[in-house]
Amino acid sequence: MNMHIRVPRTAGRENVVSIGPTKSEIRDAARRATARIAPLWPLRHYVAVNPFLGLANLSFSVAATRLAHVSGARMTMPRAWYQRSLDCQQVTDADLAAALAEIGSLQGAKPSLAELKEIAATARVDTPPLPTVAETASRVSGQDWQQVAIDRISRWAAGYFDEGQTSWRSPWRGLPAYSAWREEAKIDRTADLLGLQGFRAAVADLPDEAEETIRLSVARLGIERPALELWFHRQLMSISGWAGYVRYRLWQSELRGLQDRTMTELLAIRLAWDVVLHGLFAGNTRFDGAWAEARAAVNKAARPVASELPDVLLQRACEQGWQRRFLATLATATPLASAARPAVQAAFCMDVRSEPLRRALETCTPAIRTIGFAGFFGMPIEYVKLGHEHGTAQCPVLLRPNHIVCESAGMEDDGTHDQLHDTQRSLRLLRRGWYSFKSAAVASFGYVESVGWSYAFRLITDTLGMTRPQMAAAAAAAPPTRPQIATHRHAGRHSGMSLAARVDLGEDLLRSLSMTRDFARLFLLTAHGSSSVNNPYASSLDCGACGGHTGEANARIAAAILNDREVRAALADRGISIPVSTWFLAALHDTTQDTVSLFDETSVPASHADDLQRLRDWLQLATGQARQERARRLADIGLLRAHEDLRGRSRDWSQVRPELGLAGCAGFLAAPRERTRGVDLEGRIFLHDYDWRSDEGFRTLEQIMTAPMVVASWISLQYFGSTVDSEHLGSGNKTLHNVVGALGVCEGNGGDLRVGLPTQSLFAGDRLLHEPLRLSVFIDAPLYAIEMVLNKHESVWQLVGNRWIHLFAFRQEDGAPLSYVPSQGWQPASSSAALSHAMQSEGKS
Amino acid sequence: MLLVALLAVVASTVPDAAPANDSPLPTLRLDLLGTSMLLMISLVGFVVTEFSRRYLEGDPRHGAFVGYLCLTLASACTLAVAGTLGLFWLAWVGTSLSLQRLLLFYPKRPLARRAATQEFCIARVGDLALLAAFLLLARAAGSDELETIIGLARAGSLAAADSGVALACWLIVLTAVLKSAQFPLHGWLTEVMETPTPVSALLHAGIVNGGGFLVLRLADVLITANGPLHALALAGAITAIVGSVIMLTQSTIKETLAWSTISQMGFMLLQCGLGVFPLAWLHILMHSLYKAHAFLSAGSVVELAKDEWMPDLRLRPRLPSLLIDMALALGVYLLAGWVLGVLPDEHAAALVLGSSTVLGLTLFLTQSRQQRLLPPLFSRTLILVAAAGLFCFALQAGALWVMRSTLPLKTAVEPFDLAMLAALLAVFPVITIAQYLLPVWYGTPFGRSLRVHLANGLYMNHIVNRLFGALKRTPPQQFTRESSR
Repeated sequence: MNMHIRVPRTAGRENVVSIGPTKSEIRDAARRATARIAPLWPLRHYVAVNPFLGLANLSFSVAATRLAHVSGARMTMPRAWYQRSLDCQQVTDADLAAALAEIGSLQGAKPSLAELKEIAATARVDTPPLPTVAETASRVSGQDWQQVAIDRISRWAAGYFDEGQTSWRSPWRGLPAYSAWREEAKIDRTADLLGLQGFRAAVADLPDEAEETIRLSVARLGIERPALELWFHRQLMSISGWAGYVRYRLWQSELRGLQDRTMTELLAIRLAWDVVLHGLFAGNTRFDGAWAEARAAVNKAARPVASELPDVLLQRACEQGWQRRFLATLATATPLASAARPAVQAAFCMDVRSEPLRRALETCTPAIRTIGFAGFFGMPIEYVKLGHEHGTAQCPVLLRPNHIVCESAGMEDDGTHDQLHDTQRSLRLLRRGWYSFKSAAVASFGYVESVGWSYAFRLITDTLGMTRPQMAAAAAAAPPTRPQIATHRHAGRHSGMSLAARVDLGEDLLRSLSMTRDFARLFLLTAHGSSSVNNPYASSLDCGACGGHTGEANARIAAAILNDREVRAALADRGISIPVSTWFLAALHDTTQDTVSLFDETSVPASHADDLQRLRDWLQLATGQARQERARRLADIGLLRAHEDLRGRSRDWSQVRPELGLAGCAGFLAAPRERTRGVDLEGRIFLHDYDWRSDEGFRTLEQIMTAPMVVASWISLQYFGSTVDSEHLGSGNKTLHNVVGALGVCEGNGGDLRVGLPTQSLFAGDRLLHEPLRLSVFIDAPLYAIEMVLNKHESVWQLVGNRWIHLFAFRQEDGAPLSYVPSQGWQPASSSAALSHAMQSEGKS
Repeated sequence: MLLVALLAVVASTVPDAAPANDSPLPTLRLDLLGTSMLLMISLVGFVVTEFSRRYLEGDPRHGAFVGYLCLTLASACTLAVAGTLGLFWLAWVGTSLSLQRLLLFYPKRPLARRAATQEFCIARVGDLALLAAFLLLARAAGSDELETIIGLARAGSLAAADSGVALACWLIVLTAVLKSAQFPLHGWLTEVMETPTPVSALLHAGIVNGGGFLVLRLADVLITANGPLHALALAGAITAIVGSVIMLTQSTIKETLAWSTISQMGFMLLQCGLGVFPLAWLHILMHSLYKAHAFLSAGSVVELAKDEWMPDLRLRPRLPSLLIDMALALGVYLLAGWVLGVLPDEHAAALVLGSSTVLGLTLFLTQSRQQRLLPPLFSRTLILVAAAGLFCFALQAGALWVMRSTLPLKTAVEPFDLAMLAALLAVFPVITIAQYLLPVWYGTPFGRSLRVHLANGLYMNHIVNRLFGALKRTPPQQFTRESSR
């Protein structure tokens, strides 16, 4: 096969520093391109990520053009969807006019209202992404080399990054990615067999260093300086899933202050394919012509066009319509009259799924005050489960856990804990051993013959929902467990927290909750988690603020800290005096079944027994009501047997929509609960409690706008992206999902790792479960304070200024809503003014 | 479907003798082999259908899916109880064609089309081979009633009657090898992940067993022909070994399971080839239950990763202790066989094949011992190992006893069989140990190259795909959202 080498042997060593971009320019462009990729978290702690994270410094519409260039992904819905919204008056002329009024007249040709409506009725013409060498070769030869390149790189990556699927791992895991790929590609006969004779020899001739290969590719393919970043971005987007995973690893390294060059290496691998294909196809006149054209297109596309797409205007009009309706609803809020000390204060995660339950609780009794907060309750911890040595990061992915807390059982010193720990550890090892018997080469024949029969029972019990396909490892731990907060050593590391650390965490939590006085007798800290089986995306339904885990541990730790007498004494010195009669209680809201379970009830003092019983009754009533509301959204849940049906659903191994997750999320509101009390928000709003009057120096506001608001925008844009283009920004059809390396999924038999959410989470057939709207953020704070935060934090400003989210505030004098328009400042948030203006200017009255 | 299953239970209590049939309807053969298959297909069918009910909810073609699923199951049920060659062939082709519709459930997916094309070509070759074989058999026996053919074969008068029978046997073996995805024509089985998970479960737990079932159905005929059986044993052994080694290198859950199926089918056909048909029957049943569950629960692999159940490679057992344990276990096992007078005897094949269980249990035990388990847990491990081992042999003995009048057992041990058994006895432990050694060989170019070639399934699939010219560039509209539906 080596007879057909068409690449000169000396190719890789040629001097590439002649003309064209310099070494540092290329390195810079590569760095900028890799920063454009959004990270992709592995499935075991999958969290929502803004798929446009790296594009945030571009305006929404420019980013749409850019994304179309580099991947063919679209950032708006098909026109028919907008047309339908117009037809059914979800979006009115006033909304369209308001959307038009927002863009300045500077930005080129601006369609009139009538033109915009006409555009909505016509089909959109999609531009294909910029061509790569592989695509050009595909077009010329009629064989899909682009797909081959993606498949081969993905297969290599699956082996190299594998987190536990393969028994025989890649031999080159210790090498940097590019070298590992090159070693493997030099041996792998696949490309040759598919018709690329000389592929291996060409790979062998590539430079040893990733950066040199990138430079070689630039010189060889003739990409000009201004186009470099775009070109690299295009290449990475062709393997966007694996690029995202590598970006996640980089993210983790950066949190720890470490270096990671794998992104550059991955880019070099993708470019190496193009260089080799170019070498193999060069000389073919059709290819040479096609590539010259393609290269010209790439170099031309480098000059960015800021086109205000009509589709973006239509999208904006839809959001305008929603905001108009929402603000009207918001005006119907019914503030609570009495200022008496509530019986229970209950903090919930700001997650949109908390809203129906909070509303139900408040309907049950005016004696409960609910509070919205980030569901990790300010506890950035690594939680180590019983029998484990290392734990999971239970905090937003923007943070790095700075405390380790272990799960423990029994009393501190009665030996129960050690015994249970050893049992759990041994059980896990035993299961591992059994697993390797099952998956070993020859032994698996014997496995089937000795235990195959037992699967007859498991097939039936799993189908009936009586058992889980994988039994939970913790099932064997009979005694109740709890987090151990006292400091100790575990597996060679310090675990637990010192008193000073506890006091700090407790103070931060209470201050961010705006809770420094008026504590009720019971204070409930409600975390949330989902319950589903056989669902690779299970952790996407858990608490994002807890890093894709349930927030149980965080709530229990927070409650334990705040019940600690020493902590309370220290807090009193810092001006927060918690009455002796106040007890903090942790709870978990199961968002799949709408049930609430309380933790550590046995340690509640006897004096609070009656309060506890009353709380239980209220919770039972409220969860029942929340389940009724859910039953109305899910077709197969009976209203009268919602509890049983929901429980069945959460145990169903064939259920592709255990719950609707955060589908529908549309707004974020940082304000006192009084602003929304009594309003049915349909579980679509992130609710974060905030009272600017008690916020000294607006530190809490700054914290809300830089963390919870950003996380909410990530979630909202994740759902948005996966809905508007489920092929590029979503993970496709769940029934075809195939888990790769125990870390991600591919669809069907191969191809790139998939990003985003599965189609089933967003669609039920052709019906949308999520209305794709950019997040509308409403903040109840003085305008100058909001502007101060915007000015201080570039990344927050980019979200607002580039229209990734819409920002609203309320005028302090009369509470009228104001909308922030980047080029125009604060404007009254009402569509009618804009419409009359538009009507006049078009001469129709 | 449950009704059919009930009927089958009733029927299976009747001794396997279909009365002579004068009606124009084809006879059904309700012996233990057929009814056990029917029961198994019914169970897997029930589970898969129930699973698909919610799994495909919202898919615009959900109804069509269930329709084709039931059609496939009905054909497979008919196949299990067919009493004439004609009905058998029709059910065989019907199963394959309705399955084809399921494999192409998302017809716009290019890879789905490629896989289905390969499957289609291979299945049609199999259909033709089977048709020819059946024609030859029917001519030799003068009837297409299985009862007559098997009766003649048992009496030893079938092969004598016609020289075409030998050719028929070769064709049957060929069909079985094609149907049960044997190396190197296994490729379609690893490629058909382009269809919803329940189809994979049905395919891997049911349809792929067709080859084994065919061989078992005509075991009385095949046992008269040495050549085809040896070929079957060889094909099976190679597939079992190559497949199970390739399985270790796969990085997606479904591909790992597919390679597991390929190797398990190889092992089952090896059992057939060595003449221990009752054990092959047992293997088909056990494997189907296991694999149906494994596919349907494939999404749970993430839970394994979450709970750190995945084998930790740093905790591999120390080699010397592993070697000693295995040698000891195998020695005791074979010695016991010899003392009990099984070796060398008609059950030699069963004994040698059973060594795979012994090896697996030793592996498990050695690993557990290495990890300093708590004493009570270690004794639990011992009990588990002993129970699994005993159960395995009890099941095998049971299968041999239950099937004594339904399936033949090869009694004469020939030089070929002896050589085969000796080779297996050597290769099984070597592979089990190599599983732990390969990473050590990574130091050598040979070890590294081997890993790459194995991970690519020794390229067989690409070669076959190239033959089918299936790598056509797909039009750009494949990238629209509709394509995934």
